[in-house]
Amino acid sequence: MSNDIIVLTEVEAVRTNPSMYIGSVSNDGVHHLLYELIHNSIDEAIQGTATVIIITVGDDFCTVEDNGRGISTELHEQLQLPNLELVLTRLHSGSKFKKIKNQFTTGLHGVGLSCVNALSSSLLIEVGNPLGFFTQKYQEGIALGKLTPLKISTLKHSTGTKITFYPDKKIFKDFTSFDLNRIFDFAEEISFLNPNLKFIVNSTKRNEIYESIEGISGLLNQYLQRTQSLFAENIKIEIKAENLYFEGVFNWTSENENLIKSYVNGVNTFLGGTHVNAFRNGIRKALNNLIAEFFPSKWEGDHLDIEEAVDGMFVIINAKLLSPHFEGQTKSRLTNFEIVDLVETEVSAQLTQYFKTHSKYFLIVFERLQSLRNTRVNAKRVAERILLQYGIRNINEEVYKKQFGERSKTWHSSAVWITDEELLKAHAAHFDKNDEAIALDVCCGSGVVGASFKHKVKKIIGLDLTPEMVALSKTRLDEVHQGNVYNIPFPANSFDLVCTREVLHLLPYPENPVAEIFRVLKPGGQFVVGQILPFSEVDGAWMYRIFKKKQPLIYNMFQEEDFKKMLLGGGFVEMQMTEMNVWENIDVWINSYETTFQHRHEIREIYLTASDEIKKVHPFKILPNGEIHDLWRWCIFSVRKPL
Amino acid sequence: MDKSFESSQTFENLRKAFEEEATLFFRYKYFQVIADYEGLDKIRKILKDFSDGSIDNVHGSLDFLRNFKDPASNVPIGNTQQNIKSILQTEIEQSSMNFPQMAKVARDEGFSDVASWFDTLEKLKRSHVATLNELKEDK
Repeated sequence: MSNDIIVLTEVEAVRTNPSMYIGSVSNDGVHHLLYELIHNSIDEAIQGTATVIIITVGDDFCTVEDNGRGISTELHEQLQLPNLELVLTRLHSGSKFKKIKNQFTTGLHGVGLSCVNALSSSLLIEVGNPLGFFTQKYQEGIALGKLTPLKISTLKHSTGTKITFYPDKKIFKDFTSFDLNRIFDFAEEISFLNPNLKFIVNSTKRNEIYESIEGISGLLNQYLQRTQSLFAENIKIEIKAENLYFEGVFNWTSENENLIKSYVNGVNTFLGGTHVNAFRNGIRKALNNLIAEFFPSKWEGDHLDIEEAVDGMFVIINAKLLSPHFEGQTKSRLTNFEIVDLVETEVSAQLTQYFKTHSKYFLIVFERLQSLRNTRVNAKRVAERILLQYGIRNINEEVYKKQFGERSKTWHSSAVWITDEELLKAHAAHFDKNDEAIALDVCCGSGVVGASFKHKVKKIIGLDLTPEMVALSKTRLDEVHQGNVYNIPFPANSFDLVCTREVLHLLPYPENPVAEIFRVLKPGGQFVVGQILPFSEVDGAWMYRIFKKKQPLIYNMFQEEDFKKMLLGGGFVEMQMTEMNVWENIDVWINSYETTFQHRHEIREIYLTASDEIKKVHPFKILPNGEIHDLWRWCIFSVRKPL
Repeated sequence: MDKSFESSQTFENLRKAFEEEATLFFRYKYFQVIADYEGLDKIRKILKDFSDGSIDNVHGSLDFLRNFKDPASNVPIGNTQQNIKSILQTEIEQSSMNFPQMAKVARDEGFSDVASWFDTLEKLKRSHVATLNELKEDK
């Protein structure tokens, strides 16, 4: 009787406050339940007993089956309940029966099956162990009858554990169905961390088998497929200590960014932490020492900083700790300080040794670092020149030319919005077809905005300050001039339409270029302008921090009210506005020439630490792999010069 | 403590301690991000511990001041309704006077981007005023 009371209390505790146990009751929480089951099965594999994990995904249920030992059904002497029932109803009870000593178990939350059970409207378990086959059914964490022996089992193997669970929709109120892509991605990723363990994933729409022989090097190779790696073979660093296993596999690439994927006990630590930072510092230490030893006269300036050292590196880190500690709600950042010195020293020593025996490879890395240092020095100079622009009411053309000249090389892949067809159509929709109209695309960039009006006007002319952009837009527009928007090189009353997009925020005293646009428009002429604006008065300051760190040339974070005032204050009339929200991939957007490594880091931090006040008004997503996607509110205005 | 406490140097020092520690809290917070970027976990943790601790340091000074004067509003810290009125006063001043004036000065002095920053703060403060007004019982 007293045992029943305890069981109810624990189940109810989980059901009353589920976020405390699984992080959240969003769809992330639902998937955590599944991952918990998968990690339990992986633990069986670590013990050397399971070789296959079968995951079956239904609309609102999942089944996870392994061919491990099968959860014990023996009676627990003290509690007089089958061990299986304890595992399913008592918090943190699983490890008592796993008998894993000095092994690195997987999984993050360690809440065990009892949590999954408590948060499922229905759960069916079937086990095969040396005592035979057994089954039991649960509802909202409470057993519906006793553990029952089975004569015929549905298990695919003679031993193992099979659990089918239905997340409780009373708790997961937004849950409608499992995210198939997310589960397949998870299974594939985790298969690389557990070589020689077969993951069979089935659903009505897709079936896959994932099995890796080469481990994380295989995962690295998959990432390297999209780029050019500098070395034919990946470099591997391995550390085996009493409380730590650490492996890092990496290669240098032709990219101007790095990619570091890290795992602790099979869980993706997308915010990094001590294992990642110790690795990065170890790399830095090794490279600085090697430069000092082999190329002291060829290196100028400071030692490499941490981002320089790992620039262009693609890295997979797989760490296993006996007692990992994590920080923050997402639990994706490792905080075990005791591993830092060992990892840093070992990484440095092993890489130094590697390059001493592969000196040709080190030469390649050294040349890459030299070129990176030059680029960074140039970028810094550009940033410094932006400061010179302070205090003047026009712009320093050279600053813009230098930056956008550089960016023109990868302009269309530097953000999602630039070539978003729907967004371009939304601009063009403001203008009624006029076969006689002459149009001007101001600060035309690659000319995509002007080109979206092309079928509606007689002629579309581009204007841009940057010679590289002028060359780029000539392929789309009828003619393109090089010039400054503060002093548009056309007479007054020249155009029926002027269009521009996401430009005015880059200009100090934007009312001046607006006045210029007004001047060159014919009476009755139309100005169509698209601009990203905050969703409300609340998120403007927050967005400004992000945008200013991304692009030091930003001079305005317009609020809707101010932007309208500016247009009407410039003499325009007949204002119309349409809105369109576009998701932007922030990782792509900030991987840009003008955004320093430090600013990229700080931008991510701003998203990660955004307050609830911001989240209420401004949608953005942090994906399970750490990618940040932000929803941008595009406002497209149309105004006219009075007749 | 008698009335002369409010006019004492000690009172002024408490106010100063409050302001300095409050500023220090945010400096620690800011520096943590930089330490994080540099991969210096141990230092970052110390900065975090210190910033967490400085909350008590700030509030400790406020504990002495609360029955006399809130250092910002010069009225005693009271119950929530009184506090809403007090903080509303600050938000109104910021949104209707301080930030617009700061934006104007920045524009006049040629710092267009700083002016825009003050503009965004003005709007944020305005939204706070609207919310706080809703929370007031005697609207």
